[in-house]
Amino acid sequence: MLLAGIFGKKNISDLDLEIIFSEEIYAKKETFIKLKIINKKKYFPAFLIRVIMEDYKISLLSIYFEKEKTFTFSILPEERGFKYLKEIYLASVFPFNFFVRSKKLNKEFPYLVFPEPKKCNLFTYFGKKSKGEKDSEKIGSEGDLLSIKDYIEGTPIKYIHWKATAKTDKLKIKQLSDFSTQPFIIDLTKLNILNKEDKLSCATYLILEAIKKGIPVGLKTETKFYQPNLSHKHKLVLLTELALYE
Amino acid sequence: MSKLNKVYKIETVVKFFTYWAGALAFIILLGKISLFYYLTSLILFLFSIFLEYKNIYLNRTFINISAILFIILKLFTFNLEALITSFLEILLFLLSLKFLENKKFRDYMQIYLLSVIIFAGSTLIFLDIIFLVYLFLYLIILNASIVFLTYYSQDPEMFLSEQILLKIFFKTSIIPLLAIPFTALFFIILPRTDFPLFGFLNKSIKAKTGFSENVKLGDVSEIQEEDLVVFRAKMVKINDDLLYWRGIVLDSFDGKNWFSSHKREDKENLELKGTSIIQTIYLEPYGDKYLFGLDKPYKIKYNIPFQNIQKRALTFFLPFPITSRIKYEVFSFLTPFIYESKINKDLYLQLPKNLSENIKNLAKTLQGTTDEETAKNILRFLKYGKYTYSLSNLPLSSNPLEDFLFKYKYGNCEYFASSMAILLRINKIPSRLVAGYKGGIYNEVGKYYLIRQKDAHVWVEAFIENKGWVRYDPTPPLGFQTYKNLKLSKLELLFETINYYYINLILNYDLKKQLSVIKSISIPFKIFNLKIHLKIESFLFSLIFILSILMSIFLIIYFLKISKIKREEKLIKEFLKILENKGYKKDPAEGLEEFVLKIKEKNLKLKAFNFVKIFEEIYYKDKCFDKEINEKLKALIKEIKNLKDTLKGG
Repeated sequence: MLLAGIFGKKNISDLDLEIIFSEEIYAKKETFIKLKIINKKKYFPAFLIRVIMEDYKISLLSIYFEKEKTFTFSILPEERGFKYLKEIYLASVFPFNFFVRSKKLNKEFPYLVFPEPKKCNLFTYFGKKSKGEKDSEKIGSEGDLLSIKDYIEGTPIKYIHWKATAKTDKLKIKQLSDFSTQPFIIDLTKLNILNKEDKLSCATYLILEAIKKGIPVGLKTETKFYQPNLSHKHKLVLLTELALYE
Repeated sequence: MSKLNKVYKIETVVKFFTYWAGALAFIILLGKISLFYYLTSLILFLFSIFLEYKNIYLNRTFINISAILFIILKLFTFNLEALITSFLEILLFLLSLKFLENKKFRDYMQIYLLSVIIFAGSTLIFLDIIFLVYLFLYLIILNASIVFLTYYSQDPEMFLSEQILLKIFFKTSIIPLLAIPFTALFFIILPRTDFPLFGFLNKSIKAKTGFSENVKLGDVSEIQEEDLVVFRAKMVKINDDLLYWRGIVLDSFDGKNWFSSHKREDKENLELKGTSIIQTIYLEPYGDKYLFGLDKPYKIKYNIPFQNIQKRALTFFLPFPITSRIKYEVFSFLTPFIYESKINKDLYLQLPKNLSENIKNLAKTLQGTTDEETAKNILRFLKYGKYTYSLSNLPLSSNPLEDFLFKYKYGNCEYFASSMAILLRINKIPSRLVAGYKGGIYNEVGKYYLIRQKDAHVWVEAFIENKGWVRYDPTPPLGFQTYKNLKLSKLELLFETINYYYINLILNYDLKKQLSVIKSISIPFKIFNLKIHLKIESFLFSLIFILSILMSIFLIIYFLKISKIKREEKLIKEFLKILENKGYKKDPAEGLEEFVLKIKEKNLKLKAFNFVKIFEEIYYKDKCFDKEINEKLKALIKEIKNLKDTLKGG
């Protein structure tokens, strides 16, 4: 009994946890989280460790590992903002199921939840006033040539880049920038949606859509202004702004 | 293609180890319990393995009932004396029954518990060193079983790869391995024999003082004194001269060895007179079968199964050597005489062939006018003559008696006693040797005598007409005392006393004692505070046991019945009865709704239909019949019943 107690205690001692969140977490969208348990004991493997996160009703069971064990699980964040994965318990009934030994992990894992992207039409909100008042300097009937890539079946002949095809002996097509690629700025103050959350959701959707389509997008709030840009970093900055918008 | 790593379901793993744990219980009990119970249990166990393969399990109720029936059956043959064996038989049977069930977590734990008790019980009867091996194996298997069961409890659908499985097995086996030193400690301090276990370790060439079945002369030159405790005798303190502990009677001598001819006399017509004294003896496993008692023991009370005490010339012995510490009571008369009317004179006058003329001549010179005088002459000649006592430089000789009497003139008690017996026999006085112990240290705290191997002694009994057997001790007293430490050091005394109480506690801790505790608690017994004979005691015990079992069976059946007639069935029965009273009898083939719709009275019809609707909703959809619904339906029934009354009243 004594030995069982010692073994049980030893089993859950010297364990550490690392959590890796995905870069973009959106409210009400399932996100996958990587959890790594690290066993810092030299000769004592970790038997039957259960990781419990009460807030998320998550209970993960590791059968056996020596140095580390990685779990992937998903959570569904309720709302935007800074959140914490806390109240994490390590528990084990090892070795004899006489009692459950558990330990609260004195660690909090913060993560940022962006607003839930909700589909909304750009023109519905920006109104017709933006029509014809293109700020874009890039004007061209078919847009600019952005890149050349391999032929994809069904691509109209006019997009074939003959010069490149001749050079490489492979059918190449032109990728042109779209008309709608003109950069734009989302002005939260002017976005006429009453509900703040819906407004943020719409803005999130627009930013994501714009960047997906390669349109530089900027953001204007009561206090801050971000110039349109296309970079990934820029996207995260904008989304963070929206996530923490008061 | 790479070799696939085998994967096992956790339950299979648990079963594998559990069956092994069960198998070990069978191995350990092989030959230790009665064959009938062993084989029955074994067949059940093997059958359970077969069923396990076929994925068939027996009904739990059936198993429980058979277990109860078996216990009742066992109670009829229950032997209070063979307590441990009986319990082991019951346990093994229950264990094999348990294997037949569809096992849940709880069942596995019960199996382990049963097997642990079997192993614990076996320690009391298993005396072989191989037990350690089994114990070791068992601990490893039990540990693995419980560890994997723990895994099973966390997720019954878990699968383990062979590699992980082995890792868990080996790494967790450290637990029992670490536990073994503790176990070993208990193994030593638990009341069990240490004699057969480590006997092979100290086989020395030199002889040691101690009791032996034969008295051999001229075989060893030196005798070491042995401090080993042989027995402890709880009794009042008596005069040291009376402390002769009788063990065995030797009647035949072949020139070198004294032995017992084992010739049974037709009838022993003994008569003893003297102060009677009772001793409680705690005998250590000393390697032989003789039970010692203060000279002259006439009765021994010993409650150990299958071991009938045999008796011969006031010596008592068991059919087999004693292998564990035992406790018995001896009733003795303190007297140097045994009155016996008729003895087998040929037996007690037997002399070895080629007996030396010197000895014969010596015997003649010691002859007195009467047998008694001759005996006294011989005693005086040996005890107070030129002979000295010695344990070293004993004559190694093919003719030890003659060498002792005429050449060396020193020896141990065996030489003195042998000489006297032979000298008596030459003078036609029947004689025999009695081997046992003499003396002992009295422990004032524990009120007992401590007798050690070094107290081993041999003396003579001569048959004197009109007096019977008379005890003569020809060993010089001075010599005898020189090798005897009459006192223990204080520390030794302390340890010895603790030891005694510990042994006392363990050996006294039996069911009968428990029973007597129960007895003293219950008032009827107190009023009846008569000396209840052992048989009545065991009968009462069995009676109480049977009654309690019967009561539990009754309760089980009662509860089973109650739960069988479920609420809903009770309700519908009541409902139909009320309607029947009203003249509407339901046809067995009729549906409830169909039946209710036939009712003519509108109000009643409505209410009855209401009831049926609710009832069917629950009953046929297998919904839980909770208290609320039950109350609701009951109320409806009451309404229906009252409805009839109002009609009548109107």
